[in-house]
Amino acid sequence: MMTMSVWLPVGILLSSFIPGVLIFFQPEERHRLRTLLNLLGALVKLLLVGVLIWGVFHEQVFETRWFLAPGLEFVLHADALSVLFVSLSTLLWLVTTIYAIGYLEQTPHRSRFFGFFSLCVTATVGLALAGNLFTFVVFYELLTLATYPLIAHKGSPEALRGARIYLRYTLFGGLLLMIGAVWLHTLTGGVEFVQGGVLDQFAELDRDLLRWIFLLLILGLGVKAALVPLHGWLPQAMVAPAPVSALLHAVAVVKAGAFGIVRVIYDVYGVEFAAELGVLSLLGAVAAITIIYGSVKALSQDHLKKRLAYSTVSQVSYIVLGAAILGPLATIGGLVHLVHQGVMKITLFFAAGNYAEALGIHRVSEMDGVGRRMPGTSLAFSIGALGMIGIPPVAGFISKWYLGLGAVEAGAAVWVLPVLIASSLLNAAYFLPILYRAWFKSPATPWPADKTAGCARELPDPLLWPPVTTAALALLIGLFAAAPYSPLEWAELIAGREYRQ
Amino acid sequence: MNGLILLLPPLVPILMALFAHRLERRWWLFSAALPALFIGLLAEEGSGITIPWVLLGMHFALDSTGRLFLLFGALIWMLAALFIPSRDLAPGATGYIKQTFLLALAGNGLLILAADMLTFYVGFALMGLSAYGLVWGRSQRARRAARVYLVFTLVGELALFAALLFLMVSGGSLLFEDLTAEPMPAIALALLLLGFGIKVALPGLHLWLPRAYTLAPMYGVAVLSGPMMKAGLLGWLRFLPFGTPLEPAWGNGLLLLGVAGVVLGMLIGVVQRQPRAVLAYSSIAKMGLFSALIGFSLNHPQLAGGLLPVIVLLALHHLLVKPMLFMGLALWQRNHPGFWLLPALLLLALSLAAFPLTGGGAAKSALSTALGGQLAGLLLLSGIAGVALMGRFLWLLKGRVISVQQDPIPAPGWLLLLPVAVWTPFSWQAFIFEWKTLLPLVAGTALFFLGLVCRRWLDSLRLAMRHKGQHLNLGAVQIHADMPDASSTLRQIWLPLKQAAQPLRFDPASNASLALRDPAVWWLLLMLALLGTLSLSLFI
Amino acid sequence: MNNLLIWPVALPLLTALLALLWPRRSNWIGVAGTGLPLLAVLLVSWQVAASGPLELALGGWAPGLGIALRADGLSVLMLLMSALVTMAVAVYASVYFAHAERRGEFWVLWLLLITALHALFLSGDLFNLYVTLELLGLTAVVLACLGGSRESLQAALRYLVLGLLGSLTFLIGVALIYAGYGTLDMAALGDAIVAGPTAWVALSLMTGGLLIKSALFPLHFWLPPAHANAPAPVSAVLSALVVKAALYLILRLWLELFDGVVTQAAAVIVGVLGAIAVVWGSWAALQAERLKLMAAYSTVAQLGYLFMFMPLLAALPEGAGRELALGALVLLALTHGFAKSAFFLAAGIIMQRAGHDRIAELGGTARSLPVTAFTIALAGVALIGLPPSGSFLAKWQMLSTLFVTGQWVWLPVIAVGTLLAGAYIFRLLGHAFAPGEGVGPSLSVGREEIPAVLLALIATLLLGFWASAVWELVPISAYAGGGA
Repeated sequence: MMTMSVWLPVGILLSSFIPGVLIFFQPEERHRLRTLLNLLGALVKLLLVGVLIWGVFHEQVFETRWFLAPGLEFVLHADALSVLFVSLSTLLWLVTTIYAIGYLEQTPHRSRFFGFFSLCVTATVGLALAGNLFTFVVFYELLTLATYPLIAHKGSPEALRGARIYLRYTLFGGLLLMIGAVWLHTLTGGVEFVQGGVLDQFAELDRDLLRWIFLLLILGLGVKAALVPLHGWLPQAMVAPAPVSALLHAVAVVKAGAFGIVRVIYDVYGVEFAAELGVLSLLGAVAAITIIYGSVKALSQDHLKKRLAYSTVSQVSYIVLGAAILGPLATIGGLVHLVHQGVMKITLFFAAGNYAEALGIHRVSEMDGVGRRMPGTSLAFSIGALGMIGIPPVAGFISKWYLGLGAVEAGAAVWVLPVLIASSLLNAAYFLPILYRAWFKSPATPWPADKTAGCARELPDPLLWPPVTTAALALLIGLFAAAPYSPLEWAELIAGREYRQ
Repeated sequence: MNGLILLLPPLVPILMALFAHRLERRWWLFSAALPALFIGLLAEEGSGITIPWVLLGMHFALDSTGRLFLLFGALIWMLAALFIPSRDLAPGATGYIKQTFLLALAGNGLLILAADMLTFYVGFALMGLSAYGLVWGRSQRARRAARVYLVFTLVGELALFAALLFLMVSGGSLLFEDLTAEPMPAIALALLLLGFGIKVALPGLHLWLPRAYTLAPMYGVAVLSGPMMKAGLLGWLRFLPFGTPLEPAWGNGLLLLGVAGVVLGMLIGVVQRQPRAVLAYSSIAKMGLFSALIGFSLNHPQLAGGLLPVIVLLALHHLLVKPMLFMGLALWQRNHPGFWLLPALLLLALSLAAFPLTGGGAAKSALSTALGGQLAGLLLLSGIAGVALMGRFLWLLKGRVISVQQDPIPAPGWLLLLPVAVWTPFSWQAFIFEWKTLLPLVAGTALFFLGLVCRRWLDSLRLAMRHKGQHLNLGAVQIHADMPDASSTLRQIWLPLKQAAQPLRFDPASNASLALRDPAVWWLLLMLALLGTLSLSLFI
Repeated sequence: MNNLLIWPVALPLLTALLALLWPRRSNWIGVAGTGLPLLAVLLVSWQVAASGPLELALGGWAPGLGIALRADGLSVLMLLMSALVTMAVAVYASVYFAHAERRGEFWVLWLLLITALHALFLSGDLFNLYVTLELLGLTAVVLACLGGSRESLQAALRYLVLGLLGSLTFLIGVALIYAGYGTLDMAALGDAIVAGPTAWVALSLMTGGLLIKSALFPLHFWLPPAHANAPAPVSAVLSALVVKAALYLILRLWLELFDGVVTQAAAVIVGVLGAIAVVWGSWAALQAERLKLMAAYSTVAQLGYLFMFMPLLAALPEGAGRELALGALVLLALTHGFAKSAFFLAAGIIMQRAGHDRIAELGGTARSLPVTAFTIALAGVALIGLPPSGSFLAKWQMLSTLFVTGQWVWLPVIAVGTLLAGAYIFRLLGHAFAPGEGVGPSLSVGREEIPAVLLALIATLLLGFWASAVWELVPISAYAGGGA
């Protein structure tokens, strides 16, 4: 048992790292082996995560430590919060891998793509399992490195430009995060993630200093979490292939930032201490602005993926908002949205990729009547979009409900509720016209590039089933939110452990 | 009896909606409402069931109010299902009538049977949003009406959502039965009034209604004017704290708004040229009465106990009669309406106008008894409004417009339901004839003729305008002369505003589908802003 | 057991003779002559790690008269880097020079260079240091002009002149020390030297000479042309090792010999120069149009970081904090050594395939030379200082030291330097990943690609995950009381 508790986190990392490295060395044409490696890795990871979930639920400790340098330890540690993120990444990685196999069929550089894809997930899972701030920074930077080639994958000038912009932002953010982390590290002699936070034990530290460090950390993490005004890279990064966008928006990059913010607030500063410092209200304001700004920008985008990208900007800040409101209910809302947003947004991006792949549709204005042509995809898209608006019983509603409850409970209803409601309306304003076009209009012009003419099914299986699966998942985790082992239950578990008093 | 059967009314239509593309006969849709009918007829009151793992825990229960709503609602749903044209049922039909119909039905059943606020909310949202597909029509104007409907519904839904948050935090429980334990926060009360007020078309929040009722397909209007609209009322009945004393401003405000609704519906209704529009304003007037009664009950907790059941009966009556009138109108507009149709419609109109010896009259007399002589003026006003509007409606039947689509509508079904509609709530002991009940009749008739004159005058005015400026685009004015509400004036303000805001506006491609261009929506936003500042000033 | 210390120096020297005698087989001899000292170095390292510093007085004379060899943590680390890098580069060079006419000359000089390097890292007295420094400089110059082109000759000439100037200045300093203290043995001097005019002048002279050799701004101008125009294997060792040798000496002088003499002001001056070097070198690298020139400017910048440690080290009292910073410095130097040599080897491969190294025309490299592109990416990661490379750890500790000593001023420099490094590396990668036909047809992995990728992996993975060894070895000192 002892050895398992040490090796399990490492095993979870390696289960995607090893396939990734092996795939790099596969020649382009050996796609069967590559697929096998990919799926094997994903399934093994799923299995291991299953064990992890069970263990963490029963309060077992999973920890790996590796001494790197004086004062620096590489720590993998699984707590409830990590499990939430790990299981999300693992599950969606499996789905996205299947989707990517279908999506990238017959395109060049697949070995490179899947290699980096696996590394990207490794980094994400590493982020989730990081047991201290140092390890977190390591994986945070690794994630940047692993995603850059994915965004630049097509090699076109736009792709390279998007990747360059992405890099500019994230390197800058990574640097700020690192400076903040080192500073905190120097002051406290090592920052382990402990539920409930650690900084309140250092009463002698200068409060202003801690506020500045918080600012640095949030700025650094805010780049990936796409907080306004650090969001500029996200709409540009949509040039990436659809599976990458899906993973980027749902699990990997954007979520990493949000997850980091949650970690910093809850497990480094401790939410009560952070509230005492007065830093949460500022963060909440930024999150609110981001929510509204992203939605307003999304409204004016005709490019489907760009609209979705701005929607991500807006939606991810729900998580930040949840973290910035003091109180367990808001915490639950933010945390559960970490999962919910991922499942819903990945559905939307899968569907957007399918539209582009099957019919060459890239713009909202080209989507007239697509619902009848591609019913499965469009149904999935609709469920995702309704969830984003927060229509019950799709998952997004649960998040919104808890965020709202948290806001009312914390007495922050005056500004949070208007934001939530305005955001819901704006979400409706930019998603419902899409649904309207898809379902209620009839196609006025021929599709831009119809590749599926003459096929019996709307799409090949690996393209069709991932969005349908995730859409069903989004529906189910919303509908059965109160069931055991649901994301909501995990979020409640975490919130219970964070507010330990 | 096992509480599980309470799940059938929402569950059966939802399951059917999943396979709706296979259901090509309207009897399928008809049968979707059978579980509701069955429950309404046979299930024991007081039975309930809790499903803890769905959503945040769902609670269902059947009480007498719910049972009645379910039962009579089911009748309307079933009949409306028969009115769906067969081309909308064919495999390649545009729109999603079958699916949205079934989902709206499910939502309706869900909210009636809900024993907790969240379940109610889910049903309310499901019903309201699905109804978009029922309002949606093929003409440009119908689509626009559907869009406006959707915006209003969304706003109402969000207001309800916010209200629920406050109620949950203040009370700590979502169950209706725990609701009275804590004094209701003022903000929650305001949000409830707003959220359901949109559904019951309080004046100011009613702008979606006339257009939806005139332009939507008949089956859509039938369910919209009947079970769905009453769902808003049911919401008030379920949520509002009737037993506890409250700041009188709330009740008085609602009362005033209700009276305004009666007056507004009456005055605008009598100058309409389309029978459907008259019925629409009649709904506004009727719901104004309900709102006023609710407001009154809020302020008089001692009377509320006796008053609320009467309100329910009155509501049930209206729930049946109004859709029947709409569907009768559809029958009337067919090629060869039966000779029996005109008397039938007359009967319905009389019942709605609370004529003695009809269900409406009985309900009204029961109401005045329950009120104990108070609010007599309002009742008189409402009676006048009913008579005047029904008179106008019958008058307009003479200029019969034959609708383009002819579908074999099963008239016997309508006919079968007719006596039920006319004599609900079957309180025979209230069937008394008093001379004073004829007072509204006289006044209403007078008003109706006044309306005729007004209408003439309006027409001449419009003709003059037409002659004056041939080149002017009067389209907007014409539309709104049909329904003179605030939107035409607003449009005049809105156009320059829109031009001023042009540089920062949207991509033209995506713009077309935004409802934001509609004056009604801007009116709603204006109302919301007013309410918002009001509530903020309450906070601070 | 102490006799071990002779082998890292003697083995390359002997094989150099062999290569001179048998030029036709020089490829094999060269690789063997690089590999054998590697074994010796590994043995030495194992010994030092296990049982502390080693000392060997050659010929049996006591230190002070004869030649003394000493190995402690610092020198072992440098030796390891030098042996590993030269090994990898030798394998690469055996392909690079496989059929070149002048390969005999190359291998002789190469082995001499290794001799000089190892001797320098092991020398225990100042005069020997001077001799090895001179030998190192001369072999480096000759190697640098092996390419034979006009530019390379010109650059090598400038390199020669400055190198001579540097070692001459160093020699004068050594002479002053001898005049002042009567001994050149470093262990003895460490205790003897006290602050005073002699020490100051000697220290300034010696440091000045070494600064020229280690190309600190503004004395760096000879470096980019010399490194950029040399043959690829030579550039690799020049950038990775030769400049580090001078740096190693500066560390020895400042931290151990002249410990009490160095003033904070002097350290700050060096630090400021280092800071300027970081920014300026990175900026120049960003502007560079040729791959190797970019790498050379990047070397200038990376050396700047190392010098920025000086004011930090000077501000720290002897003890754990200082060892932490010193370890970070050494780790940064090691990472840079491995990464930069990998980078130059990769650049050499690209240059051989494409016939040029103009960055803007490198489109398609990633497709035709995936392993090389991967090498550049890995090396780039280490140069920027991203995890999991050793330089990330080093920078982390550097920042940490910054906060501890309160020397905030360096923070923006590190930040700007890192961002600029990111900019030039990813600019290069952007071009390499772009579609295009800039590089010849697709080929399978060649023998020459493997050493480069191994070096890059050492820099990014090995030094990242097993960096704790550096901090374990650094405190093992042969001077100032040994193992303080």
